[in-house]
Amino acid sequence: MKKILIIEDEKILGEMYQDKFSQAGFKVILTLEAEEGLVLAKKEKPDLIILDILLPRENGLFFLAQLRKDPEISSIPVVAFSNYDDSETKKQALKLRAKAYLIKTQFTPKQLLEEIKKYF
Amino acid sequence: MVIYNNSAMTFIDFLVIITGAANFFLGYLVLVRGVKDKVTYTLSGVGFIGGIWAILLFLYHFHIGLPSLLWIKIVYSLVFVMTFNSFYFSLIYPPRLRKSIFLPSFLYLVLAIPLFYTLFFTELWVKDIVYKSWGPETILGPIYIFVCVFWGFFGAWALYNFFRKYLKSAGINRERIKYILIGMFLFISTVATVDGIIPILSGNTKYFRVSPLSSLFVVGFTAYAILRYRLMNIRVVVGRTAIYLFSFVTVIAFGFLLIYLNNQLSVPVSFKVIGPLILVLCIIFFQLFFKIYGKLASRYFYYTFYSYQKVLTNLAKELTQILELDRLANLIVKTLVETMKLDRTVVLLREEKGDYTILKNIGFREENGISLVKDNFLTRYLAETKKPLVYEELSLIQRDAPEGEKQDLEKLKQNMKRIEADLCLPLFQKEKIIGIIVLGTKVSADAYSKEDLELLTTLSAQASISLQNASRYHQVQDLSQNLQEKVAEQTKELQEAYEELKKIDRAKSEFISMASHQLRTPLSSIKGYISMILEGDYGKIEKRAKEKLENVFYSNERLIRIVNDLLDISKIELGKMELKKSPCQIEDILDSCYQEMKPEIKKKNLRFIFKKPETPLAKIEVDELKIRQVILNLIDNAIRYTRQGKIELCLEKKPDSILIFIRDTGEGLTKEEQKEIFQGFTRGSAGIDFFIEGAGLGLYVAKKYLDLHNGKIWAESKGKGKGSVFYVELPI
Repeated sequence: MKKILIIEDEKILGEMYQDKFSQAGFKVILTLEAEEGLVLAKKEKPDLIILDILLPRENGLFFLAQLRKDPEISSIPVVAFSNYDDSETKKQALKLRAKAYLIKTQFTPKQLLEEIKKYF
Repeated sequence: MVIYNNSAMTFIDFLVIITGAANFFLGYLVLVRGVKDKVTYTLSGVGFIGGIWAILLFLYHFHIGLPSLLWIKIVYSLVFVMTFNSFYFSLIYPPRLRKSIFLPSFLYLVLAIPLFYTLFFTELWVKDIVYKSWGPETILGPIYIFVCVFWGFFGAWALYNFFRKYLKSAGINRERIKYILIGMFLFISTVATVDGIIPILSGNTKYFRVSPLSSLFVVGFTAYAILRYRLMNIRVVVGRTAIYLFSFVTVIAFGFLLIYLNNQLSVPVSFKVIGPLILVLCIIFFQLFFKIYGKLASRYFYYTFYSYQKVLTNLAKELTQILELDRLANLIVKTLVETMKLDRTVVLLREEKGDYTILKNIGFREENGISLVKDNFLTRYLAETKKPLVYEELSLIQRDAPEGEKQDLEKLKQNMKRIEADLCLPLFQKEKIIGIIVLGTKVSADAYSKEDLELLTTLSAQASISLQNASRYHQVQDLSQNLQEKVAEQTKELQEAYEELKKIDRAKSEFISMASHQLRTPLSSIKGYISMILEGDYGKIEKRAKEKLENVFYSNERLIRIVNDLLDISKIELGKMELKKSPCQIEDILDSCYQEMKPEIKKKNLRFIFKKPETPLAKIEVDELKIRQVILNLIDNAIRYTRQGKIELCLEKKPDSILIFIRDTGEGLTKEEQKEIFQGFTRGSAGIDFFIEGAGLGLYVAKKYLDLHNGKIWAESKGKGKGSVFYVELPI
């Protein structure tokens, strides 16, 4: 069973994606914070990370940077998934080897599921 | 007292007396009017000694009071002084050309003393006097020749000095020396002839008494130098004197002519009878001659004396060329100082409020210059009289003034005296006093003449006009300067206001950006959950509920698009919008839009048709997402305003472009709306209306995107209710 780590501070949204992905047969780990996300990533070694960018305390870019520094987890594919549509942030995320920078409102959970399947 | 016993007084005697008087007069003038220095004293000495000489010779001739023998010895004593004076003059004038005067003076003294002794205590010089019918004849002794050599030597030395100085000097000085040299030469050579050569060669001393006449050469030429070359700064007085002298000489010549004519008669009328008659005639004719010479002199000396005409012409010419107040004042003051020979003058200008300021001052102390106008009496007085006020006339004015004014006039008089002001010249502008020029005493100490006052009056009239013009020019300049400053100030204010607005605008855009991002989160969850409910993730739902939920979903989709538009607008306005162009197949973009919007259109029971060329178009460089957003916005717009019928999405290839158009059978647009719908929600009421209706925003964004693509967007409609067509043209 493939593992997906969702880092999303908006609990309702996180649970929503969790519902959808679980139904689709994924094991979903959910966290609200970047630091915890890093801990979980190391511990659980997920197959894919869905990463919100605007997070409390450390943001998504910080998470990506830290992830890339740690050889143990640096190769886990990450899809940035945020409503923060800023070209500079987008550029940085892609530079930190995010697979894609997706805007939440453009995707229903089903569409997102179809999309991320590309990145495993 | 016997005036004459054995000889009658003749015209020559008369002339000698006149010459004496003329000499005295010159001496007096030079002494009184000249600068008090050696040169003045010496030159006036020439005059005085010449005068005394003539009188002594007259006394000698008629042995009045003393015997002629004694008189002639006194005359010779005087000649010692006279010769030395002339010689001394040659040493000190012009100053600084000769180093030492002590040695020559000493030499003269050493040689003079034994000769002087000889004159009075021996008969070696003057042997005796023999009275002849024509007068006394002096019998001269053997030493006389040495006396002549002695005087001749110093006379020649004096001439040599002048000649050398003449050669060494230049300009106006050279001219002055030239005339003095000529005068001296004629004087000395005449005296040498009459008093030296003739008596020594022939023993004839008959013409002794006419030798003072030759001093008129010195007087005449010196006077000319004074007049023509401003030798002593006493031109006016000397000019007048010259006129008097010429008149005298003419009258005397006239008298002589009458005497001569009388003598030609077979029985001449006794001099005792005709003398007084001639005198009366001379007095009468003197007036006539004086007038004639006065006219001639003023005609000839106009240039040399005053050159007023030239002064005024030049001044007028220059005045009209100057607009700067300072330069103007300089010119006026310079002209005054040079023409009138002043060492002090001040130009006071009246300010708007009535206070006076010093525009230009030479020589006066500032507080003195302004003190004249401190009490308003002077300005009031000048405003009334409209005439120059002369210090010397103040006493007369005071005498005739009403009681009330007397004290003020006295105060003014004392003040003018204290600060050494001689003349106050009012400047008028249409009856209004605009300033005063205060003139000091002339360097020559001459009084201001009638001609001076005429010149000054004319000059002040010219100066008034120019000063007024300059002052206005100044005001205009000030005004324009002020204006410039005001404009700069307001420009700055506007600039600041603009910066402030820009800041506010930026804050607004940032606010919209932030707000939109936050709006997106709940929108995402609505979208996500409804889609999942519709997909049956949370259990089966009723068909009716499903329909309504679908409506909610599409409404939410619209809301998402509106938020996207808002975000895009804020990005555009913050200058953060960047295009990400890549080669795109335009049909594919349109097709995806078609697929996306089809369900929504279908739900509204409208037909949706996509028309594209049969052969595929070449790819073009565009930002796919942006073009997609434009098309979606246009379709969304068409859906909103179309209740029935169809919506067509068409693609056409034009020679230089690709034309996309969305045609609907909806409400249509008026002509005005066709123009305004792309102007956005920030501009004008139309935009706000559209915004409230929820449309327009997308069109505004679409327009911005097309601009970024160098494309065009426009709408056409045959009018209300007749549907509309929205065109998008992209360059290839």
